[in-house]
Amino acid sequence: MIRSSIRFEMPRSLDDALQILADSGPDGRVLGGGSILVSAMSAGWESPKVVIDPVRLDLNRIDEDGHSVTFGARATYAALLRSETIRTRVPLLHAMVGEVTGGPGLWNLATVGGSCCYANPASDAPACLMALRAQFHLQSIRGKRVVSAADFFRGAFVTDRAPDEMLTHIQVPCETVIAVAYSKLKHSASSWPMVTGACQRSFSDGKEHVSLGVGGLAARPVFAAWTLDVPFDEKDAEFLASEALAQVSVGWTDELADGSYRMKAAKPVTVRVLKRILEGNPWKQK
Amino acid sequence: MEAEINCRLNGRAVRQAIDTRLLLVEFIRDVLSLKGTRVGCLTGDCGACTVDIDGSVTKSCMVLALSAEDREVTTIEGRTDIAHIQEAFVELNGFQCGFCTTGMVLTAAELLRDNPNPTEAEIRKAISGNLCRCTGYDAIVRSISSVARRVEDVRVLETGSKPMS
Amino acid sequence: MTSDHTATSWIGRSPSRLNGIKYTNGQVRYSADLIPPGSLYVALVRSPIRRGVIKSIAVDAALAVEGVVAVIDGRQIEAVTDPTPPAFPFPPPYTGRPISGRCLTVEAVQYVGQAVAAVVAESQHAAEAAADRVVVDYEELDGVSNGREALLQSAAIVHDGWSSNIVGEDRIFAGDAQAAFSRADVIVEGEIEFKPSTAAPMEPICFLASWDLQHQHLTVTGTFQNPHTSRWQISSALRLEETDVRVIAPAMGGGFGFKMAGHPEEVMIAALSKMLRRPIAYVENRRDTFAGHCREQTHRFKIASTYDGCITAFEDEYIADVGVVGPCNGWTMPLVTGTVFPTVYDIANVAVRGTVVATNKAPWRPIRGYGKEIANLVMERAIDMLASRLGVDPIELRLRNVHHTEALPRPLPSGLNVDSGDYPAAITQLKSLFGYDEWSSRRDATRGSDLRVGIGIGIELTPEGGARPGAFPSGFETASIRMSPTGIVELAIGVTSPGSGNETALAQIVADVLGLTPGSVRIKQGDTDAVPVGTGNASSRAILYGGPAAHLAAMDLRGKLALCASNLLGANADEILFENGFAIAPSGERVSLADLTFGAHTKPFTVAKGVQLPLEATRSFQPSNVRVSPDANGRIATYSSFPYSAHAVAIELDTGTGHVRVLDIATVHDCGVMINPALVTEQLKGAIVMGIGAGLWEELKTDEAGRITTDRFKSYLLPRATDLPPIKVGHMSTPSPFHPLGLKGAGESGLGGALAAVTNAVADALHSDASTKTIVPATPPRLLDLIPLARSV
Repeated sequence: MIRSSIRFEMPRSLDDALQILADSGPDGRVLGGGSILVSAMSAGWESPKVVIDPVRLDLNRIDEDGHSVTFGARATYAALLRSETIRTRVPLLHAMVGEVTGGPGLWNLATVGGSCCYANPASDAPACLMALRAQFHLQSIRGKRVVSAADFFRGAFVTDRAPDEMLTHIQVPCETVIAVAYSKLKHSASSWPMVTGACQRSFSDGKEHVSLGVGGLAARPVFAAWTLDVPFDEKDAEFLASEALAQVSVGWTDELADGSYRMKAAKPVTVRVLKRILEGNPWKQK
Repeated sequence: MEAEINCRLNGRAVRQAIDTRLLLVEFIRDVLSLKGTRVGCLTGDCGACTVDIDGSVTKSCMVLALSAEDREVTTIEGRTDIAHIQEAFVELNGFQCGFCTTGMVLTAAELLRDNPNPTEAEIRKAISGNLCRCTGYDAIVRSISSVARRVEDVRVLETGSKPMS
Repeated sequence: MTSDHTATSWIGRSPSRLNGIKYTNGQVRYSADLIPPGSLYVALVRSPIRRGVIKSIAVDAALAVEGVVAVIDGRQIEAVTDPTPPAFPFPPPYTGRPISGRCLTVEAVQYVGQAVAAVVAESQHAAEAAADRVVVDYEELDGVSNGREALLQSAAIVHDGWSSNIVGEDRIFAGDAQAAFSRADVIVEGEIEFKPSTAAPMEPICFLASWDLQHQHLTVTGTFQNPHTSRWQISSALRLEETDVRVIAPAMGGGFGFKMAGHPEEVMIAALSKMLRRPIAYVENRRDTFAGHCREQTHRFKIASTYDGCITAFEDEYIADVGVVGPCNGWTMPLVTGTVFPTVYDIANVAVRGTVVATNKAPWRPIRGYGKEIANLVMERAIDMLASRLGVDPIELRLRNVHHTEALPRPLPSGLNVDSGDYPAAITQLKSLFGYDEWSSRRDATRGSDLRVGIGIGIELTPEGGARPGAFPSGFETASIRMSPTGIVELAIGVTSPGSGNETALAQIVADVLGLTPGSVRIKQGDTDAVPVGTGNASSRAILYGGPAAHLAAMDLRGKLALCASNLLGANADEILFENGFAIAPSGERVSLADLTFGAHTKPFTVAKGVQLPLEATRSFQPSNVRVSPDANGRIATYSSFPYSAHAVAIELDTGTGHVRVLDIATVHDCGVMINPALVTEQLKGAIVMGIGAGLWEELKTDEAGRITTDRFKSYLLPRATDLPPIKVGHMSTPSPFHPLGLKGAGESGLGGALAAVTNAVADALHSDASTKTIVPATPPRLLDLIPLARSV
């Protein structure tokens, strides 16, 4: 039940949308899928005066250009999960999307773009997109800019997006992927994630690389990356996890778990995703 | 504040001015008086408000009514093609109080459309966004899986009967 | 059973639900579907503080919102209402003590969430928007924030007119526990702290009131689990005659005790409708439903045995923090807890001391289990801890100590008289149904690993058919049956269905007597103007009490029909058979019941000769296994029936994260004769899953100020389909010797045993000696704190 009055806009062009957003100042909000914003409005946590539905702006496309995959801010979890491009070119994103809970009634509606703009520490997408070194395409009447995931997620519920900017696309570089692993810890299916681990092992410039995103643990996702220039195997997961997690000194606290729990539980979650991608190490087999 | 909505609901064109604040579920229940879609939480968690939008089940408490512009919305009342699923829920006690049931049935219908022979794990995952407090889910899972089996049986019967005719 | 209990009997068969298709195609109407056009809507301004004095309520900004009709505060309602009487009376020595009976508080607030003012508007949107604009100025006072604090000398007194915060106490003894502990070989002590949980039915509370000015008559439609109790409470509070109020309970989206009588909003909505002379609706939002907490009990227990595992003594001392005492009976649940000990076990020396205290929290809402689930949890935890100490297999220890079937009936220390059962057989059946030996091997194989399997057993004894003298209504149920001139059989009965399907079982009982199909029997429930006085839905009584009432009424009607048939067919009335809609003479001559009843109504001098018309009968059932005269210990026995169940659960504990995955659940259940086994099984599974949820995930949390922080289904974690394995169920039937149909009650049982089994399974995976204290639910953060302890043992 939304208490405060709203003006609803469904603009036909991106320019129109950006103009409306700019004119609305701090009172304007752009819908992603609606799962976060509409629920927050019903609960009275958000009371925007202008709500922009970008459904007509063609922001649900998923495109590939050889070096990267770009998907629109309105691409739903269901669309991403169905996409052959995502499955084959960005398998870590595919793995993450496949683990999102909420059922088809949510997957058919909610978007990765929306989740990223909300930047809830306890959600799936941010850490995964950090691990993937995603680029966030923002646009306003002032112009366009591209922000790396590392700069986009600035804190709990805080992103680099300015109030007059819209997230239009998310671009993910395509790597030669050797292995991916996504794992998350939740109390039960009803809860949000406590800790997520997204990990990718890839090959470029004649070397193997590992990148890791850990979500839920801290106000912003943890990122770490390594080049495997000496032989590694799954026994090294412990060491790599410790190195990555050393970045965090205070864990994120919410209604379901405090920071000390997250600090303790993050280690095994991280070790396990690292182990999974380090398994079958070619050096070890030699 | 009011604005006009144009959409199709259960196969019929709807065009009327509505309060811009209305959620799709409120539009369906309070304006169109279709009470088979229910409000259990308004936080997108329970699934009692599930409807079908353009062929995809959606929790209608997370959709502003005006976002349904140009869309085809189908509620439980508009689904005339799923009697076999509804009967399976009755036969196998796939409900008790029934409050979540219309959402469960619509979700089951989408699953069975896309995956006519789901495994038990696939069924459980498909209904994991729909809460039921009465059954413990077993009977719901059994109801959905019996539809899959029954459709399979019918197919066997039909193909089996062809040489005879 | 019936005298012609033939192969066509409907008892023990599982026809599908009456009107089942309406549930699946969306045609069933729940309370919120019935809000009449033109209704006003209410939004409540609720207290954000625990305790304080209301200094002022500023309503101008709210009244300025378009569509707002009125803002009513407690003082305005006080002028036209009396306090609502409690559904359950206080036991002595506190009988007659005042409760918090105002539907809108006057002058002071006693808990966070208490309604302070009602905003009434033409739409829900306007009412809620305006409620945000009501400004209440409070002088905040120190409140009592927990049960321990409530008992301190320095504590504030929660209720005006009370001399302490003690709501009630119970002391239950058998033998000499102190002496038995002093000479025991082995003593194990433990503690269980139960965090608050809630029933969370999928349908929130909703009440609609409509005052008929011309006839000075009030109709209240809503989520009423006890329509007659609510009618009495509403009429008392509104200073109306009981018959001036009609309470209607349409289809209910789950009850589980949460919708039992005594919500302040029941009276408030009725008063507002009368004051404003308009139909008016209250639809509770989900966030407010989470105020309906309960189960916050802390138990300290002790169990003693010989070295070879013969249990000699059990002691339990507990405190329950029930919040404020209002008109609803939630606060009585902990008093039931103590009466269940020592459940199914043969323990000669027992001492139970329970203390129920009031605090500045919302009143408890009743919940499935009604305190009994906690007794079973405590008992089963004690047994497992003892088994661990003795190094005896937990199943073996139970088999050594349960009562044997020939020992029943026998009284519990509380005076309750356990009717029947075969506990050893149930445990043995459970062992094979669950695959106990296989699971034990798997458990042993994972002992040292990161992902450890734990298995747990829980035996549950669930007293049912609560019939406490002084409660309204109490120990009886009534059914009225009538046959229309065209032969339609209609049963009007005072029990209601919260969505469990008991109407189908009632139809089966009637159909069985009259030789009809259940689908042809109309069941009328949930309308105080159309059915006899009854309890509605509580304590698995709907079929346990309502069933025999329906049976008796149907037998009376059958007697009349048999006389009519004997007039027509020329046979003895007692030789007439009723099958497939016909009355049949021994000669084979037959007449359809439709023709027979039409004949009785149109040719009373011949067809109905000697028959007391109309073709109606009203009968009540009162249970026989209830005793209201005090025994030697001064105790009465207010539960008539004792279904039980044996549960086993296997879990996997992730020792790195504390996460628990449920791997397997098996239950053997005995509720005596089952009318509709499929409905019993599905109810049981629902109860089991509630027990698993309560044991692992469901917890209401509050912040320092007492405000609920887990106010969504993302944070109050109900079980979902992917959290659970399929549940294996086995049934046994030891009919109650005290019940005319051999029933013991179904619907509630299963929760406590599953709760105990999953709690024991977690302890097993932790290595139960690690901690003597168990906190429920066993959430991952709690378990992770215990795992270093577990590793060190």
